[in-house]
Amino acid sequence: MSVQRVQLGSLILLALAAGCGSDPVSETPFAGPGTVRVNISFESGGIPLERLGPSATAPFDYFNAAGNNFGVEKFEALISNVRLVGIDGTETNEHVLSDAFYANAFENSTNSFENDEVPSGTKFQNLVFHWGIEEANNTPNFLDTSFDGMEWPDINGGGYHCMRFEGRWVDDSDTETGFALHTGRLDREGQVTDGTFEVTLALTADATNYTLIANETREINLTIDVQKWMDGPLYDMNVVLDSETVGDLPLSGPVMPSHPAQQLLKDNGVNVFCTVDCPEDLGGFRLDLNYMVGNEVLQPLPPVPTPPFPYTNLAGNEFGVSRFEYIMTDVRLTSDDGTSTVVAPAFYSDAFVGEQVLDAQDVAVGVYTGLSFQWGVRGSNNVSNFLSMDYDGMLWPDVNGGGYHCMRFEGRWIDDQAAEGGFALHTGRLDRAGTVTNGSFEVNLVLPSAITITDGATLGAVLTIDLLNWMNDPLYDFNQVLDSGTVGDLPLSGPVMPSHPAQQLLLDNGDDVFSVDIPE
Amino acid sequence: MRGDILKQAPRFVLVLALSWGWAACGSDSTAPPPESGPTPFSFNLDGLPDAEAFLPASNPTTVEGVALGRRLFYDQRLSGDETQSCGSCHQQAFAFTDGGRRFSLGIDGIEGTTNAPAIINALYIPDLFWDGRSATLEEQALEPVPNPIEMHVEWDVAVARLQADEELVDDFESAFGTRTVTKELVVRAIAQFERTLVSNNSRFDKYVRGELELTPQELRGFDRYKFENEGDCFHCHALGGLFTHNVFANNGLDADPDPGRFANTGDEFDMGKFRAPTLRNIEVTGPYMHDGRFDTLEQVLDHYGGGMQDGPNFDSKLFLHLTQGRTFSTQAKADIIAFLKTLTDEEFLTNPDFADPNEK
Repeated sequence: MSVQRVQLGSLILLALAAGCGSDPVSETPFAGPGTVRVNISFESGGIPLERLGPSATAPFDYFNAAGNNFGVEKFEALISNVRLVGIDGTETNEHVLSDAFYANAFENSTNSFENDEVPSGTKFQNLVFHWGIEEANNTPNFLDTSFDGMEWPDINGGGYHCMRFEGRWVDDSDTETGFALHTGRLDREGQVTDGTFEVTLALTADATNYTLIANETREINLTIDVQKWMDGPLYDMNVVLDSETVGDLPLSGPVMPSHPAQQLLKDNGVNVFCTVDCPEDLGGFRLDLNYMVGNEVLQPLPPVPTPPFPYTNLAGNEFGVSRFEYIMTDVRLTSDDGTSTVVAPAFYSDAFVGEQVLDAQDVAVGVYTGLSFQWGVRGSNNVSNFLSMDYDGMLWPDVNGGGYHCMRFEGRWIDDQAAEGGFALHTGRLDRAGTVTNGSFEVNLVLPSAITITDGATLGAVLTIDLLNWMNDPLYDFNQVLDSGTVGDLPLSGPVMPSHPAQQLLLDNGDDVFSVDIPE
Repeated sequence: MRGDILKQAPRFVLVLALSWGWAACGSDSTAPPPESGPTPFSFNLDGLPDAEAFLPASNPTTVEGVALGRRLFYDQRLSGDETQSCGSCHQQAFAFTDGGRRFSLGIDGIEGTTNAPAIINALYIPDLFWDGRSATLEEQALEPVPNPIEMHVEWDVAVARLQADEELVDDFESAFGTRTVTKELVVRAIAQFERTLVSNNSRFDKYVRGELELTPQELRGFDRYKFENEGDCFHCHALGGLFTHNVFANNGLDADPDPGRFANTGDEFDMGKFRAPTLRNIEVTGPYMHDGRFDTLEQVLDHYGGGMQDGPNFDSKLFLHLTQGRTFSTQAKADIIAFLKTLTDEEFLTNPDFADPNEK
């Protein structure tokens, strides 16, 4: 979408300059021009920007660093004086790729533009442009009338908007509402906050130069991450600030007359654009652990436990819990397309010690629909030196096959003679007496709704572990005594580490122990 | 929660499926040459965990600091009447316990209330004392000197005595670059010395390294140690390496136990819990338990085999064994004890580098 009223002049200059060969940074003889094309793409939090559906309601796709959940209905912007700059800072008119370009994330047929008359042989180092229209040209008649929609009201200083970024979000009172982040050159009440600024980006990943070859077409992929207008410094749309023009205004908008809002958005601008140097897109994922025993929240037995105990399993065993610790490995978020990303390679927790959360801050951005993990340690990793020595307490004796426990689940119970006893359900990979019963298994859970991990934001889910379900299906009766297959008869209350049937029963119970939810 | 719990580097060589390896610190030949100041001390931690996370940056272990710490460990000027040193109650031949004494006697003839704990691989112990009340070896070493029932001297007095010893002050300057003696520097030096008290060359270590065979009885004992339905020792005392998980537990000594870790934390879930010590050199560290109530390892096994009592925070697994009526046969006890004796490290008990430098 070529929009410039001034483009013709640039082209004339380009044609005049192309053959002179006097550019001090040119090394190769002129051999005809090449083409440089700029392709703009849009992201939010590192993932491709999706337009908010016409009837979409919360929750929306994105979270900014302030925790605002938002969706995007509109993103349009003007950039100007887009040019290539030589390695010694040389700028000439023939290196201008566009005097002005109107970008629209959702409504342009293309957000690409090019100059096919760029002289070859010049060593370029940077792509430079102005966000918005440079001050000298930022007057209402600079662009043709089809862009009058981007004009910036005279009362605020005139000229053009830099951008119009609009959508919906959920405020602190959980109310779904709108936002409109419009920036430009605010000149009002005796002060100027100019939302335009110059952007300089690298052309090569290692910040070296490159030389355009004659007849070559070079593509420059420019990414605009709209969420980064809000991520640093923090732009919390719940905040209300003195606009210094018309009194207090919320950061959700209107912001055109707000000096502090314009400044905040401008300050965020340095992080919005990238070319070859785009950062790896990582977001946060917080998995809270929730422990239940049937319908009751797991509570530790008191220091001096006395019957009656709080829980009863389907076999009728009344019991209380004094310990529940476990290892999960290869914790992943999974996508519908079969891809997945590792949240944590390994995770250990004691349910009664410390905060019960797996907090990962380096999860690949994306849309995820499932959570999977290995209960215990998988396959060939299940050897005694896999985890750091802090977890040697979870080692599984080599006599039983080595590696690590999956869980240590202990407590007290009342047997069928009404006597109080202890129980200890320790599971792992029992490899003994010629038989292997592996208590480690893979858990694949479907999230109740897809979650979108975006750059810089942290999303959460809750994994519930229902301890009662270790014993209910198939029935696990502490009173029962079974041939362990290794050392003779052993009761199901424990010890169960050397017991193949006990390990198998606990394994068979594992399929309904875990569930996942996404908090409101 | 725990953070990154994967082992980072192949520092641990798997031997006999134990958590057992060769630490990165390596031998003396790997020590970097000193550029200036004290020389970094090179540990030999073969078979023990990587020590990096346990060695405090605030008090790096140096050759000069260790030498000074050794002198101070055995320096009787740190007691009121100059008759006792740290080494009086922590004797090398007994793995730095008090020579079979249940409760140590202070300089005033007053008995302590807990059994002097061993100093074995102490660099790995995160919370010192039976009740875990000291977070570092440095902090721990501050306590016995002024304690009225132990060495019973004000730190100011002890420091003044040391300051008057020019030769010792030279050592302070070599170790810490100052000629001003302070109690903080004294305990830093002692802590450095204590970190070098590494035991990793027992018969069991040699067996793991393939240097010798254990007897059938010793091997039977090792099996019993790790069989959940027999000794089930490993849940508190690790399967190798440190031979402890550094856990605190109530092991059923009394129905109304001593407060233990509760006295330190005030957490009712710590009532009755004491540190599970390493079993390395257990043959020479009796009497056993925090109060030294058991003179022999047979008595210890009789306790775990039917002698335990339910009480606050009594460990569930031990309660399971108690309620199931676990006992140890004479043969089982003999086997387990035979195995435990393979953990005796004669080199540790006689290493001249650990001995009183004044007894040459």
